[in-house]
Formats: sequence, C-alpha cells, structure tokens
Amino acid sequence: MADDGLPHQVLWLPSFWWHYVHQVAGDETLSLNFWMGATRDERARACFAAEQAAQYAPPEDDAVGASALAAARDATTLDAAVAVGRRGPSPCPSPATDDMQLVGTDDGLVSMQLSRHIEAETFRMLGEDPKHAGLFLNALAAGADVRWPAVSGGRERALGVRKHLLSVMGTAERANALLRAMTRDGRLHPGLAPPLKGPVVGTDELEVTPAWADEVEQMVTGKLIPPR
Amino acid sequence: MATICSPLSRAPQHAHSWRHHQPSTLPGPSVPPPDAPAYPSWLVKRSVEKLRWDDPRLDGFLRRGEPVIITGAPLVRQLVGRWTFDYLAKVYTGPPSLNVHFAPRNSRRYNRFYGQGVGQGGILMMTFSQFVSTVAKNEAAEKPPWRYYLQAMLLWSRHEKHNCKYEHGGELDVAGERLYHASMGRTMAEDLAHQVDYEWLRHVAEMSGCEGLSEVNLWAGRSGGCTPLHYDTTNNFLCQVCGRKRLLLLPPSAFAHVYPYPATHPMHFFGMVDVERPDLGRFPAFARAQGLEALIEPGEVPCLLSPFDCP
Repeated sequence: MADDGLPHQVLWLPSFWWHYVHQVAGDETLSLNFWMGATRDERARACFAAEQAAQYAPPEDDAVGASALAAARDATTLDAAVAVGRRGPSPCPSPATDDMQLVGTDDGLVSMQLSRHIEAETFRMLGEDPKHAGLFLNALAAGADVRWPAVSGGRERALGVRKHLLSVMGTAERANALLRAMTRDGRLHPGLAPPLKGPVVGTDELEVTPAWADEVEQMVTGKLIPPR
Repeated sequence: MATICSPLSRAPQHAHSWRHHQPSTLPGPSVPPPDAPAYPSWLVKRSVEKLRWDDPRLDGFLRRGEPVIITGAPLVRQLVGRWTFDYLAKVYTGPPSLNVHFAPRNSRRYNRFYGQGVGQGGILMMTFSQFVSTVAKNEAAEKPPWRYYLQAMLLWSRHEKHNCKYEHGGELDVAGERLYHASMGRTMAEDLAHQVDYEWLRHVAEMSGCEGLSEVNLWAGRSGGCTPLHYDTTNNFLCQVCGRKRLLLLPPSAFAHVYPYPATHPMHFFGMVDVERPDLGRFPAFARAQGLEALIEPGEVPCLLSPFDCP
C-alpha cells in the first residue's frame, strides 16, 4: 500500500460482521481464512445460550405476561396492525429511531442473533409454514396481538415471543423496534426473496451440481453458451 | 538490503518508530491500480484502519471486535511469494475434491448456493491443477463465458473433526494443538506445518477472546467477481497471499438495513440486497447502510529466500 508499504496484510474480521468480498479483476487471488471458534462477546454468548433454551410456549408468569401486553400496546396503531397482518408491508413509523434502539453497546450483535432465533423458532412453532410465521411476526410488529382473544393459542404464543424479546432486549420499546426491523417492507411476508424452484446445491454441504445440469453440460461439451 | 526472515528481526526498538522511517521494502514490479469498487460510494463511511502487527493499539481492536488490517503480520508471511497458482498446481496434489464455484461471467456473484431462485452457476469438484487449467482455458477465450472461484478446506481442529465431511490426510501438532489436514500431498502439508506462524495466531486469538483455530480455508480466483453480502458465525483472520481483494464491511446491527434472507432460507446468512446495484424501492432501509472499506493485498515481498536459506 502506498501509505505504509509494509508487506503482507491480514484482515481481522470479527464474527457477525456483514461482508461483501470483491476480487480485483485480473489478479490471481489466493487467500487463507483462519476461522476461530466461539463468539468474542460474553454477553452475546449468554444471550445465545438463553435463546437456544427458549422454545416458545404459553407463559406461566402473570407479571411477565402483563408487561408483554404493555409491550404490545406500545406498538403502532391497530388499524395498521390489521393491514400488516393481511398483506404487509409493516408500518415503520420511525425507522431511524428503531435502528438506534437496536444498537446496544455491542454493535447490534445481540439483537441480530435474537432476530435470527425468533424467526427460526416462530417458524418451528407454527408448523414450519413460512407464510404463517411471516404473518404472525407482522402482526406482532404492529401490535395486533393485543386484540386477539385473551384465551387463545395465538395470544399465548404471542406472549411467549414477547416474553423472550423483553428478557433479552430489556425494554418494550427496543423489543418492538426489533420486531419492526425484522418485518419491515414485507421482508418475511409477503417476502422479498425470489421463489425457490427445483434442486439447490450448497458448498458447505459438499454438494456438487448434478452432471445433467445445463451449466455443467455446457462446460463439459465445450459449448460455453452464455446463460439464460 | 538485509534479508528478513523472522518477525522479530523487523521489530522496531520503539513501538512507534516505524512511523518516522521509510518502509523497508524491495521495489516490486509495478502493479496496475485496482478496478473501481462496484458498489455506490455512499456506502463507504471510511476505510478500515491499518496497524502494524506490533502496534500496541492492535490489542484494543481485537478486544472490541472492531475490524482492522494488520500489516506485516507473521501469520502466513512465509507463504507470500511462495504460494502461487503455478506452485500450488505442482504441489497441491490429492483427489479431485476441491469445491470450484462457477458462475456466468455476467452474473458477477459466487453465492455458495446455486439453483433456481438462489443464483446462476454451480459447484464442481477438481484438483488444484485442474482448476488452474480450467481457468486458463476460460480466460483465453475471446469472451470468457464463466468465472471460477475455488474453496478448499485445508485444516480443521479436533473440535470440528466429528462433523467434518472431508477425509483427513494427516495430523499436525502445532502450538500445543492437534490439527487435521486434508489430503493434499507432502509439500503442502509441510508448508502448512512449518510456514505458518501458529504461535502468533494463538497470541491474537487470546487477545480477541477467541477459543482457538477451528478451520483454515483456501480461496483462489482469477476472473474477478464477488461473494455477496453475508456474515459468518466465526471470527476470521483473513490473509491475502496473492492478488488483491476489496471488502465492504458492515457491523452486525446492519441486519436492520440489509434485509437478510429469512432464517429458514438456505441463504439465511446472506443479505437480499445486491450491494452493487441496490434496489432502494424494494429495500428502502438499505439507504441508511454505511460500512468500512478494506483493500487487502500481500504487499511487496521482503524476503524472497525461504527460511531455510537464512544464515
């Protein structure tokens, strides 16, 4: 580099940092990554352990249930809630404020891990149906669960999620900000990712593209046809 | 110019004295400037800080979990100038079991996942020399139709052994740890045993609160392209041995801006936003994303002799 000229560079890239990696065109690039075990942050580790233990079920503690309801009332208007539950996207009245509430002293490490866990656990709880999980979290983000019948599976499940959110995020405001961030712009429902069709291969599973796939056939036969 | 063979021989008398001296590097062949970033400039808040490997401030970056470029780090310094495509094509032997990602030239992306709805391209298994000749043939075409990117697991720890899907080719005992290496040929295994500074790695791992090495992967490419925005659950010391890479880094809190794939999607650790061409209509919160830019390179090689040639 012009500014120091010292040989050989190593990038310290802590876990859970988002990264986009671009290879400089024309260079032969060789990199080695030394992946190190475990998380760097005691608090995140404790949170993660709690998350793994948290399997959503009806709450037993009335005091916690009451504060969870208060959290729901703090959310956005009920009219908006109904709209979100039906068709998304979520109302996000003050995203910039939300963002600030999500960043603790840890660069957002805990809220990020929590959001991933809540998504996966809600999916499991609702019969592994991504549509149901998305609708459910949209409704919570908008506070719609406060109007659900007091004795109902939906309310009990909502209280379970809110109890967990509160235990990690600390305040109702932060808990609701996280729900809004997770569901914003229809991210979970109706969804922003292209639909999956047919087989998917992944490198971490040591899967290879089947020999009959169009791409492989093109390469093997040397026809090298540009893609669709 | 004295040859420099150990990190200690470069250590300055005073921690910051290097700032007052011209860096001592051999003039290398001129390197063309890197191509411009493919993402919009508003995404870059600043560059990642650079610190010399023996700078006392390094400790703080490691402890805080804040990215930093460590220059002159001993970790794989002995491999710089030694490991090249030609060298690895000769010595990196073993079964054709290295993952080679291929993607159409115009898609620019290596996704780690391929299929309808996740990304164009696929994964093949090759030896390193097959990879090199495949790339050379492709690049020689008038309009190269593909890009290739190789990922190979070289080493893993005993903690990973039970779930490692690779057959191991042998064991290494380094810095008090037993590691397993993939089937790779004797020269490669010896390079990994003797040319990597595991003591330094253990030192920085302790400073950063990591629990120790879990695995080492090799990445090789020649035709540009990118790995889209994603996160890993492991801490990483990413070493550049050949060529240059540009990274854009965003803190964990950016999950609120990058629209991660749902947790149940195969690409759940990737963001749905294309950072090179962000669609702010679909992903409006991405307008508030800002990150750190890092251009990493092996730098000029201070010692072209192998350590065995040292007096």
